[in-house]
Amino acid sequence: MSSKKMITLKSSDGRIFEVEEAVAQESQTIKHMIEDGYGNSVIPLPNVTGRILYKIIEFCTKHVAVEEDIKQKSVEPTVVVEDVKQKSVEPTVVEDVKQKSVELPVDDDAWDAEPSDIDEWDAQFIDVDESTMFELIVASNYLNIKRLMDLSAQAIADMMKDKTVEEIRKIFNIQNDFTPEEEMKIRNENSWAYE
Amino acid sequence: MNPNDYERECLIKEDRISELPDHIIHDILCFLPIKSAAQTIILSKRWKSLFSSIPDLDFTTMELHTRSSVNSSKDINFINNVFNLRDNNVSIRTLKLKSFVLSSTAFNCLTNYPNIMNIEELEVNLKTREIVNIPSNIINYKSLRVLRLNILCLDFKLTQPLMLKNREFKLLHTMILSQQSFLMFTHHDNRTTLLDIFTDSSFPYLKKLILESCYDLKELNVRCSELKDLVMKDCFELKKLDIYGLKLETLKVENCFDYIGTVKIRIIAPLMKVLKWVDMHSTHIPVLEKFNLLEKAVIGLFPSEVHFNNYFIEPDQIQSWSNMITALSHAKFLKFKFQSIEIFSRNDDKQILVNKFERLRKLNICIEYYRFNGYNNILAIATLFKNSPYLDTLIIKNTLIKCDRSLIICDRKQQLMSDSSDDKFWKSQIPEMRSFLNHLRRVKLKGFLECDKDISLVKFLLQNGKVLEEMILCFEFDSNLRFECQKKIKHMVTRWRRASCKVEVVFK
Repeated sequence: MSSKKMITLKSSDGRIFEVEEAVAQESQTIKHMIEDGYGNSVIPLPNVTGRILYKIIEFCTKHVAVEEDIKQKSVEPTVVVEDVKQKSVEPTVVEDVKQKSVELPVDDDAWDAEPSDIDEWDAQFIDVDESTMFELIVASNYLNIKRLMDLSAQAIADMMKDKTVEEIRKIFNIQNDFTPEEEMKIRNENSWAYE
Repeated sequence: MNPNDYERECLIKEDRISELPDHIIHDILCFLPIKSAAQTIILSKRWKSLFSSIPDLDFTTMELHTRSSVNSSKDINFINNVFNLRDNNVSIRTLKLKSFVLSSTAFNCLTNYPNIMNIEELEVNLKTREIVNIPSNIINYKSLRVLRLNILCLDFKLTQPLMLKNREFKLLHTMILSQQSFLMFTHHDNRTTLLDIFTDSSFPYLKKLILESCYDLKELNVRCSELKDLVMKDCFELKKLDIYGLKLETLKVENCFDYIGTVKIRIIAPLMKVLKWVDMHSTHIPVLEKFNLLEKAVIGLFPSEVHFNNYFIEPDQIQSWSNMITALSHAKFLKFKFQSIEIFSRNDDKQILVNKFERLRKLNICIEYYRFNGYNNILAIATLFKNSPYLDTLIIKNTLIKCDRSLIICDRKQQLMSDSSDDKFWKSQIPEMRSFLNHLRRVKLKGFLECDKDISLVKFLLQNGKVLEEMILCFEFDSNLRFECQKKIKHMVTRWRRASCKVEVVFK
């Protein structure tokens, strides 16, 4: 198997990370940089700390692996056609050639159809402290990784769901900059929101 | 703790969330039901301006009050106020609506604001007895990228067609039309056909089109050259379908076409990769050109009503079926569902399944044991084996329609060692199946019944599959009663001679 191309990333605090090209390309931002020709040198990411970049690489690596797995389960091995021309009774050995370039649709009749645990993995991944979650959402936006952007936004929304305004203020420590009169006015004008 | 210390403690902890850029907070608000998102206006001035400038409004997340007019006025009130609160300079990017009353309210609000001009994604779901009229500036042909309409109205005269002459939906890439929403695209004088709508002049960039439950649609032409994905489901009054898709890669047609009278179906799609043709009458045969790039085809037929007991196909249709199967012969993966195999078995399978499936690597067959077809489907199965010389994986799924106990081997005193008539049949097929037997590696039998037909097949494959690696036999669900039977079967199977030394038989 030919070795895969590695991409070098540098975090804001100077840490260097080497990742496979496929993993790096989960980020549309990095993907465009590679396409523009910067793939051979170190790619600086001044908006992402080493700690967060490490986690993001963990996320991308896992998802690339899961996609590869799905592709492999639906890829059919090819036969080396020359073997078949022999009309012998001997069993012909089939060669397993993994065609990674073939884009086959995801096969819901996969041989070993198993429910994917990736959602559970994602839930555990995003189960982090508030501070990390905010850093992740900002970094995933900067790096443009849709799946992680949605996962972190959903996680923060879940923290706000079904909570009263006072509770939300407390959780996130949001400063109320309305004067008491202003607040009263808004509550009255917008009682519709609280019905 | 005195008040000053408390204040200081609060100031130490940062408000990280309000520091996030606008678009990120907008994303977060979109994951909340819209009523919860509306409540955030009171959090602070920034949050108030955030909600009033949110570009995506999804009213489908509203839990509607009951149908009584008193309660629904609360919902109308909510929508009116959301729009009143809005910053007029911010355009709406996404708008999703449900219910006739709320949609009408929203349309009224929007006509007061000029910022509706740039809606990119629109979804409207409603059910009504009243006139349905979506203002044409909301279905903005200049900006719309995704359109999803689900409209059910009693009388289709009540759904007003859009004025679409010379309108080019330049950016629209995905369109989903359910129930009677297709009526918006028909002409005044003919409400059951869509002959010149899906063309490059109106939808030059359409990539995905889904037509679901479009009852009343009788004729459809699709000619968009960028279309990649076409799904049609439950359009069961369709009589004519003409698809010309130069870039079409996936076509799924499920339970369509009027089963009374003749239908005309023509499909030209040279780049087709996946074809799903299920829940279709055996008389509805599409005219296809050969799909050279086909990866996967799923066929599910059921017999025409008239000849239900016999699964008979008219002789002139046999050639058409043969042509269809020829068009699919390049597939790498074939799946025959429902009663396709039974139908082929009873109707000169040799002529229908005439081609060699040289690229076929995986075959999935669903068969049924049903008294009416005389439990006879091995002819078609044998023909498939003969014509699939390089098959790698075989999956067979059995469904027993009516439990006929005479089938179950354990209830009969059978000489398990001698050859049954099925065994003899399979033995006679060996010379023509050499290549197949030399390549088959994996076999999975789901709903394995302990009847002689299954046993024969398993025996045949085990005793002759030279490179067989894995054979998985999954028993029927209600096999608790026949646990003893299972043990007997297992015992018998493990004692058979095997052609391949690598094979592993697994019981599940």
